[in-house]
This record gives sequence, structure tokens and C-alpha cells, in this order.
Amino acid sequence: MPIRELVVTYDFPTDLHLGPQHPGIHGNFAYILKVDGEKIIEAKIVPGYLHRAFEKLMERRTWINNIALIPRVCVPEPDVNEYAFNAAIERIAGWEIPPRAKYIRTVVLEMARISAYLMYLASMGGGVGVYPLTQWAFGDRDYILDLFEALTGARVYHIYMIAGGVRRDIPEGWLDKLEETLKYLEGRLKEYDKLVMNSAVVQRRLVGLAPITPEYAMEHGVTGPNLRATGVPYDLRKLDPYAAYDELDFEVVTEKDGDAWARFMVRRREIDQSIDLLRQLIDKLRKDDTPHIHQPYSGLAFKVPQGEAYVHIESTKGEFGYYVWSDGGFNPYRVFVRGPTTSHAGVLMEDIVVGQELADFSLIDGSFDICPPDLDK
Amino acid sequence: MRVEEVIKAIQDKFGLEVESPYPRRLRVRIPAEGKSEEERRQMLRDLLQYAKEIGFQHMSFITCVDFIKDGRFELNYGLWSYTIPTMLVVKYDLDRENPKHITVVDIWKPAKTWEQEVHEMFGVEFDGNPRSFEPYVLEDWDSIPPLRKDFDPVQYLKEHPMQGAGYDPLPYVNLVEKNLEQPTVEETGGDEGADS
Amino acid sequence: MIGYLAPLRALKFLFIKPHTVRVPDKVWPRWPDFADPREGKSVYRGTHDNDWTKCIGCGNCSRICPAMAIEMKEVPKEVLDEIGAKGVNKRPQIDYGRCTFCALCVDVCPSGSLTMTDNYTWVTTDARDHRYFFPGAEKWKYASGDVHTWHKNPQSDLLRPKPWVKKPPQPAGEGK
Ligand code: SF4
Ligand code: SF4
Repeated sequence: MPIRELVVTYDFPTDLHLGPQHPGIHGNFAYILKVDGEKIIEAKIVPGYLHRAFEKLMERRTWINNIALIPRVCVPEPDVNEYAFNAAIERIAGWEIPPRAKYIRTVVLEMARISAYLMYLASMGGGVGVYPLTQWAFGDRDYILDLFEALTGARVYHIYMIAGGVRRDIPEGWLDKLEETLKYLEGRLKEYDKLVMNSAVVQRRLVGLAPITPEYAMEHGVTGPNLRATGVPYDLRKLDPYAAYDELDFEVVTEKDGDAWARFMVRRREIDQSIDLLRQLIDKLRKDDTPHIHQPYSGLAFKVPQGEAYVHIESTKGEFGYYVWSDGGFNPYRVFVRGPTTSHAGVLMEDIVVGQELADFSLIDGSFDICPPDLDK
Repeated sequence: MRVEEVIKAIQDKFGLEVESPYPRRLRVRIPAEGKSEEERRQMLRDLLQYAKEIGFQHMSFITCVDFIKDGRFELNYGLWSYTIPTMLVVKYDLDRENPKHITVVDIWKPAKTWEQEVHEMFGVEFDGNPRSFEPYVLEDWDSIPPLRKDFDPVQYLKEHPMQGAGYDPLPYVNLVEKNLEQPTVEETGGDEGADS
Repeated sequence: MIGYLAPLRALKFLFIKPHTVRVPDKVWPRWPDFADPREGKSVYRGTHDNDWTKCIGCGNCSRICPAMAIEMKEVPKEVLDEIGAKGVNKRPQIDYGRCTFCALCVDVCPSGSLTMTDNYTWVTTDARDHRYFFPGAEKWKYASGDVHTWHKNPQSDLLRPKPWVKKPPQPAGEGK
């Protein structure tokens, strides 16, 4: 019997529940798609599988206790949370932190970028069926995690930054290890390129898939690498410099086309950029002899003066921000987490997948780096 | 447009005071007095529309704070401009007892999910955004919106014992309550805190 | 060269030594495959250890714990007298079902007795050992590692404020 006859026995359009346990959907997240055959005609997000009530929990914990909680907001790149939250405290309290603390924080942020991007490459490798890329990227990410372990004491949730600086100085010999790892990574990235860039399979899946224009992107709240893939050089590290980025020398990476391939390439090239930035930071750290923390408080519990501040930083997913209100007490009055996925999934994805093939859905989802933990919070 | 021009333009056009607490941050508050609810809403929409025209291309967030002592909710609209580059936060006070508001989703598309979140967490109703009335991350929620200050999670946990979780959270609840007592100044080592 | 066969060049990695390492475990020495333990890094935050002779039972650790995992447990006076311990006869007991391994408890310990070791994993036959982990007590001794990787030092001490005063920039022309 021809397949067609089998298919028409279904009533189209029909609802299709994709996720929360689907290999193509990253994290615990679901979509309800309305499909007509292979074609998607409507999409709707179903968040909530990962809701942990962080914003409420933070109100009920002291400033210092919160640093153990916030990394969990974004799983692949926890350090952006630590940075944004602590920077907001420093801004409200009006502290100036030593240059060394800034450099170390920037090193941590850049390393986190590399590891999150490697995870992205891995997931895209899985999406297009180039499984060696998945395994290589996850394997190489572990070398970054090793460095994290030697610096911060933990592999994934580092709980390393603290109001005023970082908890410990860099251990002896760590910078040399970082240099070695960067060198190793550079060699490996060449292999990645040979594997992926020249592969016709990857190109035919990604080139021309779900293209967006800069106007469309900004209209739908798209930020970060997804925005840069449309050809506009908008990077918060450049536009609103935080940590030590105003002292570093870098060009914003852009790609022209705005399709899945461009989004992939932006991220691949930003790994190179991060390696370069880390090299600059190593030089700066070697010369610098300021302390690693400015700690005018005693750690058991401290008060932050009344005020409010919004700090947003460039994460690998997009604009990540913390809006912190303090009423002068031991706990934050309110913390608001601005995750990039709220716009990316809820506004962009629901719009862009309309008219696409069902088979491309998880690839589109992956190419935008939809990461639900910061939506659910 | 430069930052000073933005401040001046908003002052001239709307008569609103724009403060700049930190570099690349602007704050403007829609005044609560002397105007009817309709006029204030219109002013908010006009301001957001105008901000979009003068180069704030990106709606970063909408969020709400519960100032329970003053009896108001404070809505914050965060707009970011890549070209100026500056963030403009528009603040709008709502009556806490009757939090009715209008949507801005026709001006800013990302408002769709942000308003949904604010509705679920604070109970603010956004007229004209049907999506905002749908449940967002919470399922079968049967209490007051959870991010309001008068929502007590410990009490909620006592009323809703965890079903099938395999363990009883109540011993922890007592522990939590114990730990919530604020440490005194003596206990923190005699330091008055960060602001001293 | 773009083509369908290009990815095949990855086949050469079949002949390269894998970069995975063995399971980091000291607890299963009977299994020769796992007898090659991986060293925890010099500041690794593994399971806790508490030197009861140094601990003064002040309860700072339980007060700061973000997960509320630490409970101050009473220890018989005789036990403490025997080892010559000072202070209150209470010692911290940790619920490892809640602990986040943040090491804040270590950094606020005034006596420096609480430390973290390089244990990646910890295996026991009694599940309650995990729920009522009592660092320093005899029964849990074997689980404490030999190397105290994350311990309090003047750098990481959170109790003592360490304000940083910015030096005014050196006027040009004047030497160091
Ligand atoms: S371990 Fe340290 S902080 Fe905890 S009770 Fe003993 S001395 Fe006090
Ligand atoms: S490591 Fe952190 S979570 Fe664990 S007991 Fe110590 S303070 Fe509590």
C-alpha cells in the first residue's frame, strides 16, 4: 500500500507534542506543534518542566547565600549568573573592584563561553548527524572543565565569584596550564573545521535554513550570536563593556546570511575570539599584582545599601541580565533574571518555524541555542 | 541620537524627568499623581512608541516588583538601544489592590511572554494580550500569585504536602524557618554591613 | 574540498589513543580497572572533613549554609574530652542530599577545622550515612580523603574583611 494512503487516514492538521523528552529539544522543554503532514502551521511553547522558583528563593536568602544558588539558572554557562548578580551588588553598593578580580572574572567568563559553545557544536553535530563532532566537542569541553576544577574547585557550578571579586586567587602554574589547553584546543578546532566545514551533508542541512534579517531579529527580541549572524555587529561586551572587556582588543564577529549556517559559523568563530581574548588576559594577569577581592564586609551576612541596578552581559545564548532591588537589608528585596530564551523561544521560535518542515524543527531549535533553564528559572 | 538628546527629547515631549543613575542607564517614571488612569496608560504607550522610533530597538524585559508597604506594583519596561547605546527603564506604578493594565504587545512583540510571566507571578492583568492570561510555567496554581510579597512558600508547603515525592518536606520546613531568622550584628562579627 | 566523503577523514582518529580517563574512584580498589584513581585538583571541593580537636562548635558553618544542610549535633562530652577538644560539645552534621558543595561553610569556619577533601565519590552500604554525614566522627573517617584540597586560607577567609584601597596613579617621571 502506498504510504500516502496510510497517511491520509489521519486527520490533518493535527497536534503534535514535541518534548519534554525528545533528543532534539535541549533541556526539559516542550512545544505543541500544529502540523499539516510534514509542514508546521503553528507552534506554541510549553515551559514549566524546569521551574525552580529562583526569584522567590533569592528573596529569602542572604546576599552571600545566593551565590550558591544562582549558577543553577543557566546550566551550560553558569558563570554569567554569578557575574551579573555580583556586579549588580557592587553597582548598588558603589564598590570598585581590583583589576585582578576583573581579569580573573573575565577569564572565567571567556572559558565558560568556550565550553558552552563546544556544547553547542556538540548538539548541532547531533542534529545534522555528524556524531564525531558531538563526541569530540564534549571530550574537549572536559579539558576546560579540568581547568575550572583547578581554579574554582568545581567542574560545572563554580560558585567562584563573590561580591567584590573572586573567592581565591589563581593557583600557581594555572596560567601555563591554560595556555597549553588553548594551544591544544586550537589544534582540535582545525580538525573540527575539516570535519564540518567541508562536509556537504552539513552544508545542505544548514545553509538557507530559517534565515532572519536584522530588523526581524530586533523586532522579536533576538540577541547575542543569533543577532550577530544577521550581519549587525552588536555585542554587549563592546557596547556596554563590563568586567575587563574595555581593556581588551577584539573585533565583533558577524556573519551575513542570518541562516542556521551563519549562526553556526558565528559561534565557531567566537571560540577563536575567546581563545584570543584569553591570551590577552593571561598577559595582563601576569603583570598585575593587585588583590583578587575587595571585601569591605564580613562574610557571614552583610547588608547592601538601598538601591537597584540592572546588569546585563553577553552570554552565549544572548543578553543575560539581573535586575536587583535592595531595601538595605540582609536579603535582596527582589531579583529579576532576564534570560535570553524567554524571547528566543516564546517569541522567535513560535514565529519562525511556521511553514518549516517538521524534520528541520529540532535543527532550528538547536541553531538558535534555545536553552530553557533561564526561561523557567 | 546621543544620550543627552534622548533625555532632552523625553523631557520636552512628555515633561518627564529622566535620571541617569549609572553610565548607559536611564530611568524614567510615569508620575502617579495628577492624571487619570487612562491618561497615564496612554502616556506609557506613547512613550514606549516614541522610544522605539528614536532608536531603542530591543525590548529587553518587562518585570514587576511588589512594594507591599506602599501598596503598589512597579512595572519596569526595559528598552535597549544598540546604537546609542543605552538602556531605558520606564517605570509605571500600579494599584496593588486592582492590578489592571493594558498590553504593549502591539508595539513590542517580546511583550507577549514577558506579560504572561508578570501575570502569572504577580497577577497583573494585561488587557488586549489574550496570551498573557494563559498559564506559563506553573501548572494548576491554586494560591495567590507566588512572587507577591504576601505569598508565603512555607505556608503553601504546609497546605500542599508533596505527593509521591518519596519524602516528607516538613522537617525541612522547620529548619528553613529557623534559618530565616536574620543574623544579628554581633553574630556577623561586629561588622555593621557593607554600607557602614 | 567540499564533498560527501570529507567527513571520512575523521576515521584517522580510530588509531589515536582515546582521551577519556578512567573512573576517578578510590573506593572500589577491588576492581582493577578502577584502581587508577584520578587525582582531585589542588582546590577540589569534595566531601567534608572536620578536625574535632580544632572545631569549637560555634555553628558558623550551619548559619551560612545556603542549603540549610548543616545541623549542629550534640557530641558526648567524654568523647571530646578524650581527644582534648575545646568549645561547645556540638559538631556539624551534613545532609548530603542537600549540600551543594559550595564550601561557604569552610570559608567561614573561624578555627579552620572544617575542610573539603579530594574525594570525587563516596560509597557506603548504609543509605543513612549519606543523609547524616558526620565529618570527623569515627564511622565516617574512612570517607574523608587524605588530601584536604579546599581549606580555609587567608585568601579565602570570608570572616575577615579585606578592603582594597585603590592606589592613586603614580605621577609620570617618578620611579618606583
Ligand atoms: S566546623 Fe568550624 S564553623 Fe563549624 S562549628 Fe566547628 S569551628 Fe564552628
Ligand atoms: S558546602 Fe555549602 S551546602 Fe554543603 S554544607 Fe557547606 S555550606 Fe552547606
